[in-house]
Amino acid sequence: MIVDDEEGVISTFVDYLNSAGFQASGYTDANAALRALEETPPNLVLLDIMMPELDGYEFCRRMKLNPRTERIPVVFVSGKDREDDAMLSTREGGALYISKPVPFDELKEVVNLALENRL
Amino acid sequence: MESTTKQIILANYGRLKLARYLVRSYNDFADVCQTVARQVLHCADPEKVFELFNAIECKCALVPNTLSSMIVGFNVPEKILRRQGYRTRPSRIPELRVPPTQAPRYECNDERTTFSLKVTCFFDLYLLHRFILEAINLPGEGMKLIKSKRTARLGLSDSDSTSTSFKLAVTFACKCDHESLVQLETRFLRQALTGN
Repeated sequence: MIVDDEEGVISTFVDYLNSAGFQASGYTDANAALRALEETPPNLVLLDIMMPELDGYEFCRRMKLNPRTERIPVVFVSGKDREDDAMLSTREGGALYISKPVPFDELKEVVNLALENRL
Repeated sequence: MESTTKQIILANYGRLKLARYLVRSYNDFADVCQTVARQVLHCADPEKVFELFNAIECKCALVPNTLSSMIVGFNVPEKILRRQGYRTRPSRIPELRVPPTQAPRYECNDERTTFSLKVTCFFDLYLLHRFILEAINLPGEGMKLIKSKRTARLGLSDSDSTSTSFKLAVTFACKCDHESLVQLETRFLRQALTGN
């Protein structure tokens, strides 16, 4: 699952990951993404940090408080507009921090590592 | 560092959390080193900074099928992960004290210059970062390194899933004057040993 408030980022990532053989879904609305997580927990969440209403930290915190979603690995994918993003993402339970832009081949390999529990 | 000393330090700063970063370039490497160092400076007694640097264990793994991307992980105490905002300048990092055997290595030929170090903790990583920064600041030679920063490759060796250390190499596609690097190393070690 990809959660990012930018439609363009979602469609680019989802199209690429689906063409690479994954089953990716994307949400620009973080609250809708949390509801979807409950219904069908994904194997991995790629999460933006700066989002309206619910930022990536709070999203991750809620995931980690929910027994149904606490074990899903979260990879924070963020622009480097705040230097402490990387540290805070760890505090909130993120498995990995990646700064944008992310080349597709590297994104694919990171997703593979996460899905194989090798992060 | 002795494990009891490490336990005492970490006991004061909370339980460990593994912070992982995707490092794709020299700039990412430098950013990560500066981010962790700055966080420690904000959260710790300046006199304890290097003890904490030594207590923060590092892990590193290459990302498969990429040129030189790697995932670098740090076991960071929870209290170091507080939100800072960076509105205030942290304390200045005290002068480095580097045992000569722990100094970064360098090799240069007509096509490339490589800096490397065996890394067991964040202190080692920070040492390599500082050494490369000093090289970049060398009059004349530094400009070649600056121009090569974007294409610099990271290399990892002597690492597997069970090892507690790894050798990290940063290779710039440019020739540096060997004599300048020798002088830099001498100065680096003298500063590190005497604080002058």
